[in-house]
Amino acid sequence: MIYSFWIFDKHCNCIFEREWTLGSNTNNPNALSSGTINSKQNDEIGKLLYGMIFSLNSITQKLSTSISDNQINNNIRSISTGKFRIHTMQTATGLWFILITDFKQQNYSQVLHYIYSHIYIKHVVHNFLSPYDFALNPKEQRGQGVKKINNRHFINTLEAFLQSMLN
Amino acid sequence: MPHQQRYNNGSMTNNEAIERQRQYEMFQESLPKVNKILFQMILNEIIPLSVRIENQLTQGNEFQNDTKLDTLGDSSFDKASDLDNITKLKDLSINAKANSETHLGNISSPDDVLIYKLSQSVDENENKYNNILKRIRDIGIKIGTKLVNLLIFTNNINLNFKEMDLLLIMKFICRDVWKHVFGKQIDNLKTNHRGTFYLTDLEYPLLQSFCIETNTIPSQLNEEFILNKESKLVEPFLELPVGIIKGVLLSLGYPLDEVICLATFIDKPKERIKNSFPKGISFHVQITKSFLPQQQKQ
Amino acid sequence: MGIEAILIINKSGGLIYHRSFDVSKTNPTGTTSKHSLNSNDLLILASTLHSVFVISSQITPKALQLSQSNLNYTIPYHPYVGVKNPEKSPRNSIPNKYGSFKGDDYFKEPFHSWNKSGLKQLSTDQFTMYIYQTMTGLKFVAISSTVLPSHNDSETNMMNNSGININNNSSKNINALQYNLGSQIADNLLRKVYCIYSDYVMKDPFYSLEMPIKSDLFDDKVKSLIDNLL
Repeated sequence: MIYSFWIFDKHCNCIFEREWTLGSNTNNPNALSSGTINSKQNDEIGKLLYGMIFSLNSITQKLSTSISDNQINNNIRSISTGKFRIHTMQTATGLWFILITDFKQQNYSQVLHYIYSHIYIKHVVHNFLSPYDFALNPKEQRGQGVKKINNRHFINTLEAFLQSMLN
Repeated sequence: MPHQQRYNNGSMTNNEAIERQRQYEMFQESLPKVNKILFQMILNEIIPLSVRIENQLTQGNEFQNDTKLDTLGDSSFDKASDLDNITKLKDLSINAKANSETHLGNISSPDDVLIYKLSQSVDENENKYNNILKRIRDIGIKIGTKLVNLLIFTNNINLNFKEMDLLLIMKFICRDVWKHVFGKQIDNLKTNHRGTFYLTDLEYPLLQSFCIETNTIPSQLNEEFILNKESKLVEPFLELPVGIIKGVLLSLGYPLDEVICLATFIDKPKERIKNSFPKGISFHVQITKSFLPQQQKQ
Repeated sequence: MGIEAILIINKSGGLIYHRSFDVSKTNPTGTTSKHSLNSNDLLILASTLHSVFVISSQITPKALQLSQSNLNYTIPYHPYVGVKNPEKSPRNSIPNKYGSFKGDDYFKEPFHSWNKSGLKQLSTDQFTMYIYQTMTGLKFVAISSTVLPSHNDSETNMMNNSGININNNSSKNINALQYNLGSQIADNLLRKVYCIYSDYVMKDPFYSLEMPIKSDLFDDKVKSLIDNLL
C-alpha cells in the first residue's frame, strides 16, 4: 500500500506531492482513489520530510567508505520506522523521488527509477511549456518556492502507473 | 517489396533492384547516427531561439533610437561617430543582458517563460510576432532545401527525381522527408489533383510531450479552456514543419510565392489520445500557379 | 551480519558509547578506511539521529492516522544471536556463567517493541543502520555492513555477509524475509546489548547517568557478543 509520493528539486522545494488517503475501491477499479495532489496542508510535512532526508543523507555521505581511486557514493535507499517505510532515490541532477509505503514490498527503487526516466523526463523535461527549474527567482532557491508540477499528462500517467500498486 | 515499385523507371531488373536496395540499406546503417532525443530538442529549441534573436535585435534598435533623440538637440556633436561609438560599446559586452526589459521578456529568460509571453504578445505587437514566425519558417525552409539536396545523393533507388510530378513530390515529402527529420511518415495525404493537398500528421513527434502548466490542479479547470490556450501557445512550433515543406518545394522548382502552406490543429481519433498532445496537425498546401510540371533540374 | 559499529545515545541525544569493529576479514577489498570519523562528527551523527528520530513520528501519513493500524509490534525471538549455542560447540566446557533467570541465552521469548513511531532502520548503498529504543529513552544503534539488495545490485551481493544462512535461494531475489529478518535479528542483538548495559553499567556505582561509558567489562562483553556473531 502506497501512502504518498513526493518530488523535491535541488533547491529544496517540494515540486510535487500526491497523497492517497483511502485504498482504491475494489468494486470500481476505474475510480481514482481519493487523496490530495499538491495540497497546501502538506507543505509543513514536506519540509519536515525533506529536512529529515537531507540530514540523514549528509551523515551517511560522511560515513561512506572512500576508496581512494573511485569514490563510491553512499546514498540512502530506504528509511523504516515502526509504522511505515520511506523509499528514496536521488538523481544526478539533485532531484529527490520519495515514496512512503507500508511494509509489504521491500524495494521500490525500480519503481522510482521508472517514474523518473519515463514519466518525469517525458512530461516535464521534454515539455517546452513546462519550466525546468521550478524556482521562479533567486529568492525561491532556498526552500521558499511554491511552484508545483500541475501538468495533467504527468499526473495522469503517474496515477495510471501507481494505481496497480496502491494495494 | 511494394514500395520499391514506386519510382521505378523499369530500367533495372528485379534482382538488380533488390541488390541496390540492400546496398542502400547497408549504407544507411553505416552512417553515423544522431541521438534522436537531442535532435528533437534542438529542433524545438529553434522557436525560443527565434524569440530571443528578435528580442535582441529590436532592443538594439530601440536603444539606438533613444540615443538618436538625445543627440538631436545638440548639433555640435558628430552624430554619426556618436552612434558608431554606441554600437561598438554594445558589441563589446559578452553578457548581453538587456538593460531594459521589453514586453517580451529578458533575453536570458527560460524557454517556457518566453513562449508564454510570446502568446500574450500576439495582440500587443503583431508585427513582432509575425517576424518571429517568419524567422522560424525561414529556418525550416533552409532545412528543407538542404535536405532535398542530401537525399538526392543517397543512392536510394526508390527516389527518381527525373520524372517527379507534383503528386510524387508530395509523396516524397510524406515518406522520405518526414521519415528523415521526424522519424515517422505522414499519416494521411489527400489531394484534389488540382494543386491542393492536405497532409495529416496525427502524432507530430516534436509536440507529443507538450502540456500546459497551470497554477492549480488541472482537474479543477475547464478542459476546453485549457485546450484552447494550449493550441495558442503551440502555434509558433508549427511554423517549422511548414517551412520544411516549403523548402522542399522550393528546391524542387516551386518558388516560395507560388506555394501556400498553412498548418491547423485537428482532432485525433479517440483511441490515440492518451496522455500526449491531444491534437494532430493538418498541413494545407496549395500551389497557386498552374500545376503543370516544372522543368526539373538534376 | 557484519556489525561495524555500535553506538549508544542517551535520552537527550548525546553520544555515550561508541565502538567500531574490524570487519576487514570479510571485506573483499581489504584496503578501505572505515568510518574514519573524528569524535566531533560522531557527536553530530548521534544528535542528528536523535532529532530525526523525533521528526519521523510527525511525518506519519494521513492514511495511517485515519485507519486502524493493526501493526504487530512484537519482535520474534531468534535464538543464540551473539551467544554460543551450547549444542553446536560441545567442546566449550566452561560452564555457563549467566544467572539462572537468564538460562543459556539472555532471553528466550519474543518481546514487545517500544519503538513504534521512531526511526528503526536506515538502508543505504553501503551499510544498514538499525536503531533500538528502550522504554527509558535510550537508543542503541548498530551499523552493519550488509546491504539490503536492490534490483541492480550484483556487487553488493558480494559484500553481503553470509552470517545468516537462512536464504538458500538466489540472493538476487528480493525476499520479504530478508528485509524484516535483518531488522528482527538486529533488534534481538541490540536487546542483548541492552541487557549487558543494564548489567555492567547500571550496576556500576561509580557511573553517573547520561555520561559517557568507560567500563572495561562492558567493552569486553560487547566485543564477545559481536565476535560470536561471525
